[in-house]
Amino acid sequence: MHLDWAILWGNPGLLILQGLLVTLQLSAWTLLLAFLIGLLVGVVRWLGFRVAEPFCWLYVEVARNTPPVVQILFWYFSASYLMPGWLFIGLRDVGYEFGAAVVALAIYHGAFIAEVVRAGLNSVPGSQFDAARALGLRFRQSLLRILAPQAVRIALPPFVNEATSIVKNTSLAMAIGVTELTYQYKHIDSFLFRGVEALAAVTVIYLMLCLVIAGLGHLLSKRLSKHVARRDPPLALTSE
Amino acid sequence: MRPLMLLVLCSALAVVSAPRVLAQDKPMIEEVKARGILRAGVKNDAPHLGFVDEKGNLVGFEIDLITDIAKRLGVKLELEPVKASNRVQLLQQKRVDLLIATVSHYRSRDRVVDFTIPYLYTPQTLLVKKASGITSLADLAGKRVGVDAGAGAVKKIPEAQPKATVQTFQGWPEAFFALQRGTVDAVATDNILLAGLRVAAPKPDDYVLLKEGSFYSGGYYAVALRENDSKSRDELNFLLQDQWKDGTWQRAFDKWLGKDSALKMTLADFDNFKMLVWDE
Repeated sequence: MHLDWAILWGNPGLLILQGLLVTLQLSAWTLLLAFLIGLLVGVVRWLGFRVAEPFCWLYVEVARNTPPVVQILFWYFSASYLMPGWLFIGLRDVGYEFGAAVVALAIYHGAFIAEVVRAGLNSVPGSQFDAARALGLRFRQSLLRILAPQAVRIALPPFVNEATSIVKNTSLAMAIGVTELTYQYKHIDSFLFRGVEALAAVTVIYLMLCLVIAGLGHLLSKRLSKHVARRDPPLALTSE
Repeated sequence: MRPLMLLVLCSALAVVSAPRVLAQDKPMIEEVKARGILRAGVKNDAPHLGFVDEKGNLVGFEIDLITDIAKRLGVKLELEPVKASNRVQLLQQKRVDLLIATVSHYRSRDRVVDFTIPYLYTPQTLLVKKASGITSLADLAGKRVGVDAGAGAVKKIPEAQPKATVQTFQGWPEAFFALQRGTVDAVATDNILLAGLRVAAPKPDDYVLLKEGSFYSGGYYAVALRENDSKSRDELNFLLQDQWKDGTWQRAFDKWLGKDSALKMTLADFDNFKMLVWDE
């Protein structure tokens, strides 16, 4: 096989960069929306509101247990059953691909983030909340100043996991013709016959994106745990 | 960075970028004759060109052409179904000797593989309702055009008619269903696919394909070979021309696309395709 890496500096490289831009936008919007959904649903489930909780449970189970690519296809091709026909047609006229991918991926990952949020809140002993209330802090204060800082520290690593998984799953949006990275790879492969080179470049780009996110998460996690480390020195130092 | 990590990264890079030393190959056509078998990469999902019929046999226009070529070479034929995503790799890894699999000849592709002379020109055009009055690309302004989500038309339609709105579908049957229901005004793709959709419709006469002058694009289908094998390319070119001269090509055309087929297409539907024929 003749591999020609120089083509990546030409037209195929430009296509890949265009794809990268779309992947970044897709990831950012999805992360934002999924975070909002996850926060809302996670808190509601943790509080256990009798009216809302069953709906949130249903949402989490349905969204987590169906393949993300099926959800993307649903929101792009079949959602006409959920919304009025004119709205569906109108949306598809203005290039609904991107929006459908964001909605589908946000719903899918929102469910996982909801569980991350709930697990984070659950991991703080309930007695702390009671103690805060007994000391005279209001509900909001106990939640935001006592519970949240501890929960965030615990929920951060799994949340970073979700963020990298969002970046990876944006590649599924090619199924409905969103021109993100993987779509551009496929385009380069089928029209220019340079699939191997393009796939290698695309793989490296995904790898770098995810490593950067993981690295940022690690830094943030270290920062949030600074005071913990000070109060609780590692075993190696105390064993002397 | 730790030395071990650096070592791992460097060796990974070395594996990826190592130049391949290629032995001087024998021409493909001589290998085929010595082996007694021609392995051809063909489509099995392209209606009328290379597809699986009701009995499960691989048949079609391209299959007929390559079967005849194998006969002329005096070798047996092995058909290897290929996909758009793996056909070039299979060719370059020598798993097949050539591709006759709806591969259009583009300049960009010619830098990777070699092509014979074209054996068919396939225009890309539009299927519309006869009652709609759409007869040209200009009439598409302000109309909705249905295309397959993964197809090249996604990019080509806006270039040909910027005022048309493109709607993507999961596949051609879905796009055609939208045309029947009236949610799109036209469906755009290869004319053979469109003719097939039209014939399969309950009332084929309600639909028309836009003719010459309204083709938004098109491709010359040619046999793809590995790079730098001019002996094999010459031989295949001559064989294709022989097929054109003695009527084999026309028979295959009539059988699968023309007057003896369900599609009843004419050469005019293929922009009056005429094969290049060189003098002796």
